[in-house]
Amino acid sequence: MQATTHFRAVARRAILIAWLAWGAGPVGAATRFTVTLDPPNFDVNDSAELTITATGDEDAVPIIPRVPGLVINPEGQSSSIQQVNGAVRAIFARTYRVTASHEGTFVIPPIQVGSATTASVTVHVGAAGSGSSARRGAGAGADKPAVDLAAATRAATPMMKVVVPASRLYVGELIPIQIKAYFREGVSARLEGPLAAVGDAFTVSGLDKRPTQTQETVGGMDYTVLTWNSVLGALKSGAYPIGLEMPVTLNIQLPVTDSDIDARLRSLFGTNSRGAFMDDPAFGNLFGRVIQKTITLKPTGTPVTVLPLPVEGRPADFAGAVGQFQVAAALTPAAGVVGDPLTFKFTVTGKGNLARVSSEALHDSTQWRAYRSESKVTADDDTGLQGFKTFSQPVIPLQAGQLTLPGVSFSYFDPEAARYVTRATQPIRVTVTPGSGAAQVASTLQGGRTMPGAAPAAGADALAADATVTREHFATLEPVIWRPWFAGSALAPVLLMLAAITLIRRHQQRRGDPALMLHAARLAAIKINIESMGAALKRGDGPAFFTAARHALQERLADLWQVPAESVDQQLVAARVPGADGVQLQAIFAMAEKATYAGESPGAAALQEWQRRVLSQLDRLEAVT
Amino acid sequence: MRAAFTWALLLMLAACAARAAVPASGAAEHAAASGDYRTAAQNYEQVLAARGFSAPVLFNLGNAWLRLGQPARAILEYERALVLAPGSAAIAANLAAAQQRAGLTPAVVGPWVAAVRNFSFDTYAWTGLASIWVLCAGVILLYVNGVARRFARLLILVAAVTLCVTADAAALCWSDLYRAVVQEPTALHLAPAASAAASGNLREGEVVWIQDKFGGFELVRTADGHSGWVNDSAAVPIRVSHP
Repeated sequence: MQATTHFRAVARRAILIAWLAWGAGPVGAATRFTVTLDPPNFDVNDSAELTITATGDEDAVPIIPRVPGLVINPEGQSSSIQQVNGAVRAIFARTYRVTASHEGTFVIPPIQVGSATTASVTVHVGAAGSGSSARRGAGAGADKPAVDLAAATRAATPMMKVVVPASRLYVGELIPIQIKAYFREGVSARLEGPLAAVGDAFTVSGLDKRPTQTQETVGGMDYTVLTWNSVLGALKSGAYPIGLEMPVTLNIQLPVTDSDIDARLRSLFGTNSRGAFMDDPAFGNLFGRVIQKTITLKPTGTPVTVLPLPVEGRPADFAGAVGQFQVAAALTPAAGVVGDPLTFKFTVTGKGNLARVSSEALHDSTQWRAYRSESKVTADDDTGLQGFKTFSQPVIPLQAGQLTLPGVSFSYFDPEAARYVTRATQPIRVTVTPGSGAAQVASTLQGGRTMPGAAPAAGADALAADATVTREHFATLEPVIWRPWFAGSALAPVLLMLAAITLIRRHQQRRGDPALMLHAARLAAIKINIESMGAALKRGDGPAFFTAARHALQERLADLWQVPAESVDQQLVAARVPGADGVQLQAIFAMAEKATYAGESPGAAALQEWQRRVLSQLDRLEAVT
Repeated sequence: MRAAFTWALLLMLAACAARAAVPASGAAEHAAASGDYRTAAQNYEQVLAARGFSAPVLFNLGNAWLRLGQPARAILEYERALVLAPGSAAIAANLAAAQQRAGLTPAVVGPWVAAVRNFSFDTYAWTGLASIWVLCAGVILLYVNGVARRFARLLILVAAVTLCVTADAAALCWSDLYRAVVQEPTALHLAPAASAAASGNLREGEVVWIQDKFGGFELVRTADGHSGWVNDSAAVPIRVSHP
């Protein structure tokens, strides 16, 4: 449709260019712009032609202002050469089609064309059918009959039909429908949006899919038909039209009259005489008018009656499923073990609102533990009207033996039979063997043993039997590492180890020191000499007593002065020990020499006094050490 | 002296009276044997609250909850019992049964983790502590001359190997210290706020790992790696100090 319009526009432009080439001549005059509206008053269903003419040697594209309520679309342009008394002028004409969305008076403001502006134009738009159209003859000044634009629009307007296989539905029922949009051959149309359902009485699914396109002849007219295969669902009872809307923009080609052609020729060439080739109707169409109009396409037809579902005979488990369905059930695997889950599948197959199909499924019993079921709808076709819905439910046998899984029922309303139908599956028998896990596990708890005679014997409920608490040992579940003392316990051996190592190493170091070893030897020697003094005193052996006393003092002083013991004598003592202590020590050394070399030996009482002095000096020297 | 004796006697009597107020495990066992699982569960909980955790009591309490149709609470008690009695086939079997009834699939763990879980984390902690003591003693003996020095080297070797093994085992089951059991179906939130968007759901009885806490919410990670914030009452930690 659009291709045809495009071809005509190109042809029209080519002819005018050739015309201009034929009449081309010198140009050169001041350019003058004029704007005309033909007719100045028109109906909502009609349109007017806005022409902007430039006379002179300047041509520029006009900037069309936006006027609320008016639609100004470019329609075409032309140019011509006018020769008057040897002066040649070029005439450029641009035409626009003006339509209105509602009645009223509109003002088209001055239009800017290049550096100049035109005068403003006032437009009066009357109501549809008001006959306000008043065509003004272009240059002739005489009125002429207006083209029946409303009739042309009606003829070009597409139509929509909904093919419903039944005139009556039940609430919740789904039926397949066909939505057909008929477009006249030769009418350029553009879909401005998708087909959409409106209203709350029905649901229409499948509108988002691409329609099929066919050609049909209706009443002798050729149509391009767009068809949507959809599913209509009734939501509430009553009689309602099927609400559908689709925005469409049409390019309506108006029929052309001879006066239109003459007027256009006069405006372009200053003459209305046509040559032989212009008598061709195709040439006349070049001057035809095209109206662009956006409409909302709605279906025609009688309302659909929706019946409520009957209350009488409605099953308790009816959940709104409407259609024709069959049910089936299966258990996989076919045999089981106590405690091991099996899968119960309940399938509803048929035609109808599968989304409303629901099932109570299985419940807990003494033999079975049933879990929540999950459902999935699988459609057989694009409309989703036909298919199946599967309910999968895990079940666990609680007992061993030949168990029976009860049947499952499902109720729906059959709209063809106009009654409720309840279908049920047969019970399923299944062989369940004892479990090998929990039931046969002996209690190995700390301090526990299997409780004889306890109510839930092992295997009765697939649980290991309770334990008897014979040695109660209570504890906390707080991890031991989170207790502060545990960190101390881990740190303590490390500290102890470090301390012990330190002590041992120190001991070993001291044990290998020569000075320390000499000191220890001298202490031992002092001790031995003191013991020898005591023995000599008992014997009354003066020389031995003083010899031992001198050795003891020598060892003590040698240890104190860090000199060899043999070098300690009376002179050294006199030199190093001042005062009374020095005198005492010198006296002891002098007496020892006398006893050793002269054999002088005092009495027992005197020896005891000497012993006291010697020990006293040793103690004092030890304190100094 | 006389007054002190009187006070000591009174304290002993009060302790005995308090102990007598707590029903013994026998009463709970009797209730369970007669099928009164509700009473059995209450009595077992009182025993735990008064005396602390015990593997047999936790096991029996889990059985009672499971028979009362509360698998999530049973899973919690079984998990706690396994902490005190790891490797118990009876607890593991009943735990698996509880997970089945809750519609949960037991988490699959690797062979190393499975082997490590034959002992509790505390066992590894105690063994590691003993190894440290022995190791330190061995080091000390190294500084002692004589036969002890030769014996010390063997001691250090054994203690060091034991310490390494227990440290590895403890590291493998370290995350077990932060496990918790979901007690009710709840949503995982993207942020610690009830109004935060949900990022997933936790199922009743599911074991999760607590990773962080903030303002009455806990950041938990599920076995399949999902993380999110839940109300801190939704997931009960397994390792707690008191019932």
